[in-house]
Amino acid sequence: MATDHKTLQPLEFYKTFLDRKSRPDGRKLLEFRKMTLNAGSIGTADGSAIVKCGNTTVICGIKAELAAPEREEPSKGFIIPNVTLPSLCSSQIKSGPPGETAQAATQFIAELVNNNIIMDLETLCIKVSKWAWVLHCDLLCINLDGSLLDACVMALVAALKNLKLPIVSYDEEMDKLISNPDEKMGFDTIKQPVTSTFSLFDNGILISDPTFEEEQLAAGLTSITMEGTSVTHMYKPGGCTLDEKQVKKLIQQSELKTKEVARLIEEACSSSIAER
Amino acid sequence: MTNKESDKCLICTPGQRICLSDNQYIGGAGTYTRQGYITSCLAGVVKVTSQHDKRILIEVRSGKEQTVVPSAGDVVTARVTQINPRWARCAILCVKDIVLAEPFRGQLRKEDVRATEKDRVEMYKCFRPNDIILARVLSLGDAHSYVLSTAENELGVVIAYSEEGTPMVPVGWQEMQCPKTYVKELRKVAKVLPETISNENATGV
Amino acid sequence: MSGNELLSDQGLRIDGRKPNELRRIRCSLGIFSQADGSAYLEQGNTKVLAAVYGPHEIRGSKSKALHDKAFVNCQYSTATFSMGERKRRPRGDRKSTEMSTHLEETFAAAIRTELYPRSQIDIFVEVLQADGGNYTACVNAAMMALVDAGVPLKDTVVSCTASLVKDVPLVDVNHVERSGGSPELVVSILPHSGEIVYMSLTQRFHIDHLSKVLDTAIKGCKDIGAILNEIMKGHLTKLDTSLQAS
Repeated sequence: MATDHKTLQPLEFYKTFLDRKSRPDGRKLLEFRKMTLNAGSIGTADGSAIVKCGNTTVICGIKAELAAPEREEPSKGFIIPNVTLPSLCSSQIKSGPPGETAQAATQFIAELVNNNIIMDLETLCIKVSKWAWVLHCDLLCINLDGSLLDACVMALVAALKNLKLPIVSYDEEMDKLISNPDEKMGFDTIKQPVTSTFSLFDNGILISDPTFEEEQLAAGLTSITMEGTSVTHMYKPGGCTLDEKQVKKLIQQSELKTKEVARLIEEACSSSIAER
Repeated sequence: MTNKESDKCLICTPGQRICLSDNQYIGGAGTYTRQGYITSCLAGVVKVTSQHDKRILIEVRSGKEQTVVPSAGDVVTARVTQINPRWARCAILCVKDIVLAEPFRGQLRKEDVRATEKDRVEMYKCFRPNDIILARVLSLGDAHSYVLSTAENELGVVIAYSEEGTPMVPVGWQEMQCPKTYVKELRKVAKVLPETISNENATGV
Repeated sequence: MSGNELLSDQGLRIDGRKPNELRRIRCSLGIFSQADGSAYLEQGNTKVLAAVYGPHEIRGSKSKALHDKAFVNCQYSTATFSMGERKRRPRGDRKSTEMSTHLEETFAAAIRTELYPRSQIDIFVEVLQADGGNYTACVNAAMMALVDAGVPLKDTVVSCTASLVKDVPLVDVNHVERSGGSPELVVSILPHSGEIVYMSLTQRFHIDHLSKVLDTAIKGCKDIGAILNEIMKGHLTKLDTSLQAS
């Protein structure tokens, strides 16, 4: 009885699959799950996207506000990411203040934002040291089944591409903003980073796009973020070790995923534009 | 109710009346009686079976597995999580042959480990953390955990690993042996025939 | 906004509905893998998600455990991007806590809690897009998620709103009508037995109108109940055929 073996001895159960170079859900070791993307389905948000990577589902909704830029960086706008894991997304998540996973994910996205990996923050500025856009990007995970970062980054990029803001200009003489709510614009400077998560087992086996169970059983985790063919961010928080050859292999795999995601985003954005 | 009717797949939803509850028809799983009627409490397919006593049992089956909580008298499969001289903490994983979605906490007290010589039981010689045991639920206990017992020949450790990490085989009712190192370790072993271990495990005896 | 604008001379509402017309309902069951039961429900432009976990062991404070029945825990939450203005706190504010309590009481009445002593059933609802009738959509979605989870219910629970404009009762009020200053009566019923489990009224109208508005709301509930029943049955048949096929 497969289910009993799985509950009683999860790691042994899993290792019998790894020994045969397969996984319980029928994937190969380095195969990623099917992804779907839908942009612009939430009407109350300024930009939105729903991403499914396997069973992991993330909704990104963007709300825009206007504010004065910070004094140290007067020509930069803000992207404020916030990853929430409500207790609805998994039985492992307790209700209450944001847990470690949610905070780590928020921090990860914030790092991508601050390093201009997602978009050039200067394009969000309307008038230097006076007005800039603040984009509150709320990422809501509604079903957590591993590889959260992959889905979050994809949802954020797609939602930003879907973003439509009223055209606002600054009137110098009157010292106020003039906006035309009928005319909307998007940003075309959004880059397309793609994050790929991999799990490592202590016998040197690598698997890509782990599920929640696989993440729990694995000895370590690595995330690689790429844009086109260049690596923009790497993240390996401890756990078991990796050698150079393995890193190269992972980058190769990430590149494959990057292409697939780019295609999906393009498809979703063009179809949502057509709907408008 | 004719045969033809019972062959047809009848779908009902919670709160829907199925039939009068009388001497002939009795309500089974997935139903309850309200105002003299057998009423469905699930969304599912109505199942009609004639019993030996000529009465007809009405049940409602939903596609999902029946959810259960442990109740007194059930045989459960549990993992030992923590041990001290007086008791062992367990995580109840299965009730009878149904796998729980999430574990429930259970406690196995020293005096409930075996039926005889209760005062000579030493917890460390009966269980180790991570052992899989079969146990019977004695009572609901206090609010924190269910009270378990292994005071039967068929109950006790079914899966255990040696210190070196290989699954051990039982030798006698108080010992298990590692097939690699031949080291013997003490356990309160459940009397399960080796070829049916997986089976026994699944059905919870 | 006055009543004149909410109901045109032709007797049509601002979104083109007749006074007794419901908004379009769409619902899908079993959309999440992690939850034991889940549902996504759209009532017009109001979009909500519901997930059910349990029955499982009591979480958090053990004192909540009831020795003879299950404890029903609900959480009502509104996504930050679900409204015109960005919502700073998705849950835990006074309004959400109140909604959570109402949900708990409603479902404690409907679930056969006596079958699962000392355990807990969690119901989480998340409003993704708010356009009036959020609470009713949440009740309906949570009920569908409970059905999907296979939690035994005494009866289904359905909820609907009604309002009164120019002495004409309106069913299933949307956000514009609500904020237009018309009263809103929220009713949740057990459709098979016809019992009312929850009722709340904001704003006032003359007592003579109450029965008329209440009847409209109950009629709305029953209509929604019928729609949801069909969806449930459709879902089950689909499950059934896929089981047989495999």
